[in-house]
Amino acid sequence: MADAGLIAIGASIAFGVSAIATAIAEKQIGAAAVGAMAEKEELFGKGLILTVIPETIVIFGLVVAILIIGMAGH
Amino acid sequence: MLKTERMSKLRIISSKSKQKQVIQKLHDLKVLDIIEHKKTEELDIGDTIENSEKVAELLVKIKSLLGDSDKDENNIKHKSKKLDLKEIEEEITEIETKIKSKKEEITDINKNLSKKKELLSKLEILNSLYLDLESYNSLNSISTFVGTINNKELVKKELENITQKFKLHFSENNKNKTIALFIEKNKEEQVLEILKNHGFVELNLDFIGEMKGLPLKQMNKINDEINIVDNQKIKLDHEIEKIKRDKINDIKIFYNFLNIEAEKAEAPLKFAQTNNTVMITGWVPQSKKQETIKEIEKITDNKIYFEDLELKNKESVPIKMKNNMLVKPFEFFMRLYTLPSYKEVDPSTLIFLTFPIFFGFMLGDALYGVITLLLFWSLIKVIPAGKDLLKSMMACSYWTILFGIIFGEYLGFERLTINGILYEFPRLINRMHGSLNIMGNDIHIVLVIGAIVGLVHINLSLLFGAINEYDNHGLKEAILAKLSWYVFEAGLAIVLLKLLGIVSFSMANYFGIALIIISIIMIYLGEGVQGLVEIPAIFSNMLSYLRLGAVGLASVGLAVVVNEQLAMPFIEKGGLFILVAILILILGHVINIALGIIGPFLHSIRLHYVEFFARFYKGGGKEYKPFGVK
Repeated sequence: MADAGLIAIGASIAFGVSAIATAIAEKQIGAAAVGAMAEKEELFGKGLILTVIPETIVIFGLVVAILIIGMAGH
Repeated sequence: MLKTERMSKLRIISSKSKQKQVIQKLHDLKVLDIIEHKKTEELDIGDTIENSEKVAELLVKIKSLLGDSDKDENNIKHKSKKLDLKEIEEEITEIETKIKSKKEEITDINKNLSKKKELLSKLEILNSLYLDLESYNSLNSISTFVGTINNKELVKKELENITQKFKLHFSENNKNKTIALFIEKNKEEQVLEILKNHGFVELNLDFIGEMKGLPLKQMNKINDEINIVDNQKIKLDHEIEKIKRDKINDIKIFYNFLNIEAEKAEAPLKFAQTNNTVMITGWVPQSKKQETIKEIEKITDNKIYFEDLELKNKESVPIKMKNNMLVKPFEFFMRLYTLPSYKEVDPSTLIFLTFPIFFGFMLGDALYGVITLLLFWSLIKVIPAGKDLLKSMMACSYWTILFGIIFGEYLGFERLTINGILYEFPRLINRMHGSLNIMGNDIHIVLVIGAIVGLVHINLSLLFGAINEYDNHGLKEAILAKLSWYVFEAGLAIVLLKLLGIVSFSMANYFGIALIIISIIMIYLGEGVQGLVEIPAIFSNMLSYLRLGAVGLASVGLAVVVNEQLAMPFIEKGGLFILVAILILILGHVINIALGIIGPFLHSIRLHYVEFFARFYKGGGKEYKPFGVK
């Protein structure tokens, strides 16, 4: 069985780094979406959706983190 | 249910003499979405109805009377009798004359006030000298100079050089140095010269007139007068407000009436006309067409001609979504994104079916469900504008409660200890700890469920894609562009099953690979290069549904931290610490519920907009806005 501390660190890196990646991606899309909304308010729906598209990255990070912790049980 | 309301393009040709009745009828029926006629060489656009200028003029007046007050038609008591423009004009003129006379009074008062204030400021200058006002009265042998000056000492010195017979009063405050000089008359010119050199600004004393005594006394008197006049002004303002308030009901009725009149008067701008006829073209729901025609024929004694126009292929037909009461609130999500186009499936029903389930699966806590249900229910009254969204969210709450019971989670608690005995809540699925063993790995059961839901949802999306393709481009396109994906998946499944040893049929590998190659060719023929790029995307889209499990695990994880890591230690200490624990629980769960609404909402709607819609939905329809509806 692997060291529990290392497993925890592995899981948190998977989650943390993917969260940062999502944040960077969403920062730029969000800024552009707000800019577009200022011009045309109906774009709120589309802007919202475009902004949360990179959310998938952090979800995958979270899934990987959960899997790492789950596998550590062996 | 899955299609929007079917529309007919109707053309009405009527004689000009009947135009007014036709407009009136169309406005009452509220069914025709008029297509604006573009001016051509043969057909000009129509002229506004003759009363339009009057209506516009009255509207302007009424808007100024209404000012900022609420223009809503709510809480208006309607009159039973019919309104006409003449009556409205008379009443408005009456209100305006009343207000005008009051305003004139106010103008007079303002003039009076400014005079008094000027007097007051002059008296203030004299006030600092503490001389009775009558002492400034002009005398034969003495000249009087009153005003402001730069330097008193120098003036005094220079005056002493000319004569000793003078009296100089001086006062200084932060702004001005004021003097009053009484000096013999024959030295007047020399004195004036000296004073001028020292920046003397004379104060004209004519205003004193008959006033007597100390300036302060006069100032008090004037201040009292100003107060009285000010009160009069306030009273007049109130009276004006009262005139408006008394008539506000009427004014609002007029406002709404005139707005409708203006709309009717300007309607012919969208019509086409010749010398004696007008032509109105517009969209009407097929179900209402016959009724509309009959109604119009009735009022025009059949002296009217209807023409049913054929839909052109790429014409943009206005969209009226047609859903039952339960699905209606979910049309909100279509308006938020983009309305379906005429030939497309309206996905409101699909969103109604899956959106709340996804949300409930992610939040999945019975008590959170109850709390959010109460929250959304009470918000409906506070924010009537958000009614549709809140109703959809209430549906989400029901599913949250259901999944909470399935997962056996209540405010993040999975078990309860009473008197030292542990009670485990009953559950069907253990979300936190339940796992499936897949190929030697323990994987959370909710993640597996998420992946399966993804597979089903994406395939459902392909099916609707095929339906849309069939309606728009025919069977061949539907098979090549959308159904080909099923072939691809089938081929892949066979290869995988063979690799895992589940299928032992010896040629399975070749059969699977052949299917994959055929499907890829079909996809290329159907969707071009774009379709080939989509091949890896379809897997990442399916995996994206893992979020259904992952977001839920994060949410329940947070709740467990609040309960067991933060609040438990205080509960164990007992006594007053219980209060601290309760505070932590409240704060923690409020935050978690807020996150639990925002997160699952965004993820659930995104799964629909991005993953689900990508394979069948384009949208871009414009909303059906019949003439007569605001």
